Amino acid sequence: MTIALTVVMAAVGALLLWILGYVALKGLGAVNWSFLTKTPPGNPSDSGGGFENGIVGSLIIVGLATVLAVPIGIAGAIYLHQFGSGRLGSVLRLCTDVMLGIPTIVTGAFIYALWVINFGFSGYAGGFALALVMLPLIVRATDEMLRLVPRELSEASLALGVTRARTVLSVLLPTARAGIITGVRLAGARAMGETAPLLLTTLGNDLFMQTDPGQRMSTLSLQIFGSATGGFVAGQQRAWAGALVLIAIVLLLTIVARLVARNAAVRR
Amino acid sequence: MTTKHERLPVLNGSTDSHADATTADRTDGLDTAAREPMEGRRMDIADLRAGFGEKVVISGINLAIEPNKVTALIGPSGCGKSTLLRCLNAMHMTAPGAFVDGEVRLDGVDIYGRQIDPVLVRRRVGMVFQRPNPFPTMSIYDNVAAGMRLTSSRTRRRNNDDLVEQALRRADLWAEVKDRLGALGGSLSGGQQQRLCIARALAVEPEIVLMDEPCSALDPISTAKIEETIHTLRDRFTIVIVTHNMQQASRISDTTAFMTILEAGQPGELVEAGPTSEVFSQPTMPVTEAYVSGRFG
Repeated sequence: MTIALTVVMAAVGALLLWILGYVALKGLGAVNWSFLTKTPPGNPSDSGGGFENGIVGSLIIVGLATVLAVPIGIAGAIYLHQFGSGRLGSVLRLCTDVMLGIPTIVTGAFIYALWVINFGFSGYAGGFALALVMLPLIVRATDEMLRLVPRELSEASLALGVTRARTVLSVLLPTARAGIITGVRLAGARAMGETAPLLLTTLGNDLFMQTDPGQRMSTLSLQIFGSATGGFVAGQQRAWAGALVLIAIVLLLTIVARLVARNAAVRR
Repeated sequence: MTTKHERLPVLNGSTDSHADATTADRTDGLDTAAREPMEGRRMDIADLRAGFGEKVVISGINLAIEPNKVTALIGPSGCGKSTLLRCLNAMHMTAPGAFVDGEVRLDGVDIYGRQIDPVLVRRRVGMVFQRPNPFPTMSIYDNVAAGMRLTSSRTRRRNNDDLVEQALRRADLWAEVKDRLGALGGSLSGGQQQRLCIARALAVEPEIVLMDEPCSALDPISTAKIEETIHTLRDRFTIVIVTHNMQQASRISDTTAFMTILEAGQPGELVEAGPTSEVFSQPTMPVTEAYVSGRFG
């Protein structure tokens, strides 16, 4: 038993290291300061240049999606937790599960039909699409974390004469905070890597820096996709570097989220 | 019901309760007449019936809870002691499908009256639970201050230090924690956590304190400590305690009420209530005698 589990664990660990190592091996050569601070060269077969516009675009669009999805997702989860014990609750939970399973290209098509046709490709449209991708993840994670908070704690608060709303805000949410942050982090990491919904919403803007989400924007994922499928060795080199930078950004956000969650636990 | 003095609910013993209009409207029927800040209040339970959905858990309960006395509710498991206790501060109604018929009068006013806000009832009738349940994200200090902070729209930080110390002293915990008020509540031992929960309940200065088997999860030494605490609290509060432990009931209570299920499938009933010494030494009902002598239950 122990041996079998150890072997499986080692295999999983090896696979993960292999992916990371391979990406690092391929990408490290092209990652340098100018990769982070320059846009791609006009001719994709040229070497040099970087994904600055994609990095900035990814951060803006995922930031936008997070700002939209986190409050709505947490509010939805609170609703499910407080009032979702009946039939309506199970229907809503089923809906979030279905939403969780929707291929993200469909989400992109949805935003395309609803928004892009009327207002054109933009960073905002990408943010909406990614928010829809993140929303069910955040609702589900938060709902599960709230359900893990012992009922005794809510009761202790209610028995002090604290209102239900205040109990949720001051007792339930802080107690579940670390888990909720983890859920948001995973949703954010997922959104960081999404490419399909962005193709249909922000389209990409491969050569130019664009910080106005009202315009077409590039993201890291789109640039990786574009460069990798472009057929030029220099472009593929940049795609590997972009993949490495994407992993690094997710790792960095993970560390930040962990620190925030830990501070939440030992605060005061 | 005539209100003797026009006054808003006494929170934290302060007199500056300019509560907002909706709060004031909803407390019209509640007698919050001036009183000594820490004087216990009486409760009268009349023809109480309660349960969940179709299931009636307790029925036909009539009981007077005298001020500044310790009233013990005893009886076998499942007879509805905890349900009865939770009816006294409307906590029962927070569970899905819960219902209550009959009256629970706090100083003459039915807490289930239409005008009464259960949230305000709970500020006057505090509760300590079976398992210690300090807020895990809060320090010892914040746990005690939680009631004051979370029930007040204004921050009353200035007076909190004194009130926190007072509550911890009353719960007999001050000496043990005064040097580490910033530590998390969960870092205390089980018995200390339970006294922390008592301090938390006392800090909002309730008039009545309900305790639901507060010692059942604790060792004998912690139990003795809490019993001592209950003994001193009687001077200022009315206490109702549910206990499985008859020795405990006889040690700490002035009045004992015995509940049981007389026939399988029937709701729990109050069989007899009276001064503790009488209920234990010369019970009027045979079923009480059988229970207190250890022959059943």
